[in-house]
Amino acid sequence: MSLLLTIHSAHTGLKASAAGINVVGHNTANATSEGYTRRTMVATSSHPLQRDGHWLGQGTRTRHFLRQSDFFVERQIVKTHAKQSQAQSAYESIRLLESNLNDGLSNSIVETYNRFVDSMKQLAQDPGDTVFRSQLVNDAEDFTASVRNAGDFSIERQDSIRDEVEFSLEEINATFRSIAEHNKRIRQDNVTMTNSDLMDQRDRLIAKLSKHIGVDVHYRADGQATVFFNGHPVVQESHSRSFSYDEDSDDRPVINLATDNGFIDVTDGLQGELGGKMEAYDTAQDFLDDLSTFVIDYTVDFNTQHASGFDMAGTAGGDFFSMNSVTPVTSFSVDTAIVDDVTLIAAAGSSSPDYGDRDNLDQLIAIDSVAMFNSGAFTPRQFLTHIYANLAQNTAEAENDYELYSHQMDDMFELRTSISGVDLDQEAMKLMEYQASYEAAARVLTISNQLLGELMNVV
Amino acid sequence: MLIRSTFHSRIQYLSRNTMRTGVDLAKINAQISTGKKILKLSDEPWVTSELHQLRRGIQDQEQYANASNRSLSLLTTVEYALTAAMDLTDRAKTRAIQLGSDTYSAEDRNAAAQEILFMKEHLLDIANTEFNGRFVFSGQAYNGEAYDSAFTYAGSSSSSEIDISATRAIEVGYVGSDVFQGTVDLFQSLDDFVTALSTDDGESIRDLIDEFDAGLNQLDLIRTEVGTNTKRALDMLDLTQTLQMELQGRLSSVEDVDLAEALTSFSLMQTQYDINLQLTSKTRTINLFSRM
Repeated sequence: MSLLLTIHSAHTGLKASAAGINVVGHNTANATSEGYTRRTMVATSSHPLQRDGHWLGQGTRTRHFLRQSDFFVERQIVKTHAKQSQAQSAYESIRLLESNLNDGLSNSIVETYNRFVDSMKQLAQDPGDTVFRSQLVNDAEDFTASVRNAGDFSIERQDSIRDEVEFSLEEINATFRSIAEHNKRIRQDNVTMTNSDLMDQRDRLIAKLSKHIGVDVHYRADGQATVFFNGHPVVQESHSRSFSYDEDSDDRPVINLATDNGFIDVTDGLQGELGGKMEAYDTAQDFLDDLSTFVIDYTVDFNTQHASGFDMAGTAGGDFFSMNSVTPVTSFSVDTAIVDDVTLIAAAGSSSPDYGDRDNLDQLIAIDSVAMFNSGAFTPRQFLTHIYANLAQNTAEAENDYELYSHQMDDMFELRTSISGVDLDQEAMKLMEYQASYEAAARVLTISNQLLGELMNVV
Repeated sequence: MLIRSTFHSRIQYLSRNTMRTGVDLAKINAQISTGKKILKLSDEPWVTSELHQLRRGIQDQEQYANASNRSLSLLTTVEYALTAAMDLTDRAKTRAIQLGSDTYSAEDRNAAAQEILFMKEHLLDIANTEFNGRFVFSGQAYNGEAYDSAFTYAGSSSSSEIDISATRAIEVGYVGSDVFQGTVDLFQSLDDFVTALSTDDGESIRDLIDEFDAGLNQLDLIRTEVGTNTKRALDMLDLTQTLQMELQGRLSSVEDVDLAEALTSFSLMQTQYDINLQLTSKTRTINLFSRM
């Protein structure tokens, strides 16, 4: 048996131990790297050599670097991350809408409406008093202003969401391309540790993508990943598709996916942050629609009643409120004629009104008790409360969803970490193990070298 | 049960729980400092309707209290005026009893006529009583005097009311012609008295005694009605105060925080937070590398 073969075997041992220490070093350095999947070195004995009827070992070799991951867990993380991001994004946006309601504060829609009705009741105590009339007009202006402010804020939020959705598509399309590029490189290099790093990078891109729009992923045996969005493949091997932005007739954002046969509207399949933003967009729209219904119906009824009364001069009343049917919420205001001349408030029921004639004012006050909304289910005050309660409920649901999916993400994260995470204690023990192997292989090499030297001296 | 727990996952676990406890701590802090359990509607969206109703109920009671107070001021004024009118009418009746006696000469009666004329002027002043610019016997036309200098009624034929509750309105401005010129026209009666005195007509003077009696009853009836309305306004004032307190109590039970409970929770969470921080600090050193 050749000493040279022994030296060769010892050398392979040194190399393998060094590779193992390298893996430990890489793992330890990336112990806190987000999305890092720990590696283990898999060594195997080299193919033995047959000599003189005997099999002689040739030491060890590094077979491959195993990436410790579980595809099922990775897929679940991607899905849960999408739901968590969607809930978070929805909650953050809807919360803003809710806080703008200023419930309980003096400038909320409900409080300003209450003050407006109270002003009418106070005026009923002394209908000819111009101070009370001025107070009524002031409170009516506060009321209309609070409605306009709420409408403006919701519209601004929608505008902002439209911009955020549009501007994020370029980054999403770039991510699609980047994942495809990574797939290509992974396919080209599938044995070294670099390959695992590429997979980590690619998976981080997929996680980022899922956070944005919500995707599903299918891992192939060759390490490549196929990414699906709403059932459509958007990244397959080294090919990717792209999104484009559009708006429908109501200015609602529309996301189109380019396919071989044209474009597909995939807006309703959005999850992730964009899905959350669309959820908030639709919540804002529902809020605006309810507010529009309130403004239109209340204005029509109030103005109709006002017109059937008489002002202090005995002239039939005009409009008290004004608004346009296209943008009722943001145009809702007190009629300028009333603002300029409070004597035009038609409190009287007679065209020859006494100073204290309040017959029409009583009818205007009574509108507060008329169940005119939701097919006779709600009075004006109740309908406003209903609007507030809806928004509060949506916010609470978004918050609960966020909490739920956050807990799920925590559980998924723990599961992933238990499989793919770096345990410093385990790495330290491996380090000790590789260190011992290295020292032993070095010792074998030293002794073999000494023996060879002895042999040389004999010769 | 997890098969494997890494250092990173242990730190992350502690970090997440510390953060969650921190968030809960911040919420309790906000509740204690504001005294409110419900900081925003989404904290308990199912109480939105109750909250709004209770707040509205309190505002309604404030409104009714305000209306009741205003009513009381006006009714007190009306009552004083009616009492003065009754005193005047009673004085007129007494003078009619006295001057109806034939022991008085024509000269005596003629001299007394001036006194009755003054009474009539005084009754006009009473009929034009006002409170804060509001003439209480002009009905709905309370921005102007009830009677002009010719003793003609210039007010409205409709009385003026104030709503003191959702279902009750009370009269606070009376129709002067009903008060002073109802079944008995007191101004006319005084006029007749002056004429009878000037013409030394003892029989006519004696006839006026019953008329003044009827006039007193007329005024008394209205005064009784004013008294009833005053009682209603006072009762409503008491009721609104009681209801306000009750509604305030209910509102407080819905939206205010139980301070004792909150402070206890705060104390527990603060301790938990502290423990988490200490655990995190200790966990940092528990690894094999630090022992190699």
